[in-house]
Amino acid sequence: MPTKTIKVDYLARVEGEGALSLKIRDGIVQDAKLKIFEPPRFFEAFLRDRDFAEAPDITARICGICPVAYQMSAVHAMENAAGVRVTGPLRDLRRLLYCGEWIESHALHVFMLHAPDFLGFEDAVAMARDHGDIVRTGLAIKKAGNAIVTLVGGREIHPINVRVGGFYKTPSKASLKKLSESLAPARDHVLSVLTWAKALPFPEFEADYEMVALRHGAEYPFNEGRIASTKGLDADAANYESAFTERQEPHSTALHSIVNGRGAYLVGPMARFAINKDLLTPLAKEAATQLDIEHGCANPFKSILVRLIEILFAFEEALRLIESFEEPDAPAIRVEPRSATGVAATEAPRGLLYQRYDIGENGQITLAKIVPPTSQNQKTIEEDLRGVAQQYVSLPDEELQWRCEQTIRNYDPCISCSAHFLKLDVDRGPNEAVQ
Amino acid sequence: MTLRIIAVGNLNRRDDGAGILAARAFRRSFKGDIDVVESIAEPASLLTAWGDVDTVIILDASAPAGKPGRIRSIVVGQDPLPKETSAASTHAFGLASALELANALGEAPATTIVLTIEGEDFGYGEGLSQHVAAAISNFVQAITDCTQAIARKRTTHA
Repeated sequence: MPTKTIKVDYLARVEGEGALSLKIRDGIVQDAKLKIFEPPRFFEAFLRDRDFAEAPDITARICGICPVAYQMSAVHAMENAAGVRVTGPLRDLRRLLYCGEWIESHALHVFMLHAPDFLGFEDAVAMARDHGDIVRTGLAIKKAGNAIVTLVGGREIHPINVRVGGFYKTPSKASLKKLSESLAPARDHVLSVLTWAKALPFPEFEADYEMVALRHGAEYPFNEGRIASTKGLDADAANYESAFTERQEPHSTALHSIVNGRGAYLVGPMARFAINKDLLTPLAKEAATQLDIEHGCANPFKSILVRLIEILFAFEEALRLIESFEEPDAPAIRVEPRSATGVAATEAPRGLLYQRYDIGENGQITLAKIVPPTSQNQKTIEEDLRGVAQQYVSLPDEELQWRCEQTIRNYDPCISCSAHFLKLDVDRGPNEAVQ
Repeated sequence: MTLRIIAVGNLNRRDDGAGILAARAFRRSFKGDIDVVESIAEPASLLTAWGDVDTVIILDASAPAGKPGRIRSIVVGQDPLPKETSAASTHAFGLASALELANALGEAPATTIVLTIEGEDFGYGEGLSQHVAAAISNFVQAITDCTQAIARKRTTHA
């Protein structure tokens, strides 16, 4: 009986350590597993007995790619526990900081990690030899995102300026005005690559995903909103744990998540776009039309296009926020801890990031729960792998492996966050020759 | 010819911060006028950091190889560069990748010298391991010697 196994021991161009295994019998994909074997990092345990105000700085260390997201969910959860709401210029600065992180993270993925898949290069260095202008453009876009995070967050990686209640120091109107001078040209760089991106060779593959994202109603979501899905879910973050279940799977050190009563779901740019595309700026909507995704996108390989739309939106939003910015009276509002539970969900570049904290009388954290986007996407990634592998099962192993790795990279997975690179194992059984 | 010293590393990963600590010590002791910057080992930042100069000295910690504190000078393009000189980067691209990328884009400085100090402990936390701490003064001297050699070369070619 022809059987075949494809194994990838270490997945390239993703953050963290994971592996992939496919089991194929008689041309049927019987099993597909994204194996996450990066050791658990115990951040939830580190947080216990720490002061509530330390959470944004500790959680920022979970990831070098999306530290702002961890900080934002942490501060909102703490403020939720304390019954405090941050508004006005401080809220705007948080949105601006998030714009910077989306730009940095999406640009890294689009131009350095994902584009080589479509163009047939092993990595961005090889791609740069033939597509130098695209790589230069990507780096210029990313640099503009870095500049936002540096100014508002205090430094490019692991920002140090975020605190419960606001910031340690807020930028001056003049410094933001100077920053904006670099953002408009970078936004135009995004427009300059749309035609290139649209012409990338996208594999035909679509799935009926339940897409989950925040829905604020008045703005494309970063920090606030109800948790909504394309299949009717509408929940407050406080009810996250009633709506979703995390469960352990033996092959992964990251927990899998399901929507209760249904199953796998998808978070991230495609979900945000599906649920909030009416809230994009006119220019971003125009770009979506130019890319033929204005009515939505269910092909995960085209997530690269959605990321470009979101980069464009983030530049426009950053420019809008800077234009209307008025310096606040104080860099933070006072937040007094109280014995309570605080929850928050914000939109990390890779999707919904949920955090819950139980706070004791003395302001100490007694329990912390963190659900990162990659662990929420893990089950969907495996379902995609099964579908893609089946669709391309007749390809030689090397090409099938490439397509499967590309399938995983569609999600820009941050394995370090979720547990937390790829080993591919394709098992076609002993009698089916490896081509 | 313009020169910049770029230090990379992570002060919270023990010996990975040796390049940055050496750069700070050099800045305090050096009497001349040399631009010294600290950067993250990431292409967009590094390409910017060396974009307007033709000579750079990059300071970084190298992976453990049995001789903690050992100082090495690597002339990029002449000497082989270890695949990744940083053991503690949390990013998809490190210094070696950034240098390769700059080269592929034709945006590498004319002369790039990487001075490395071999680390021993890249665990979490601040502070250098004993052998690396003891070798920092030698690393600073190596930076001084390197800048002087570049200055002499400039004079010879002037």
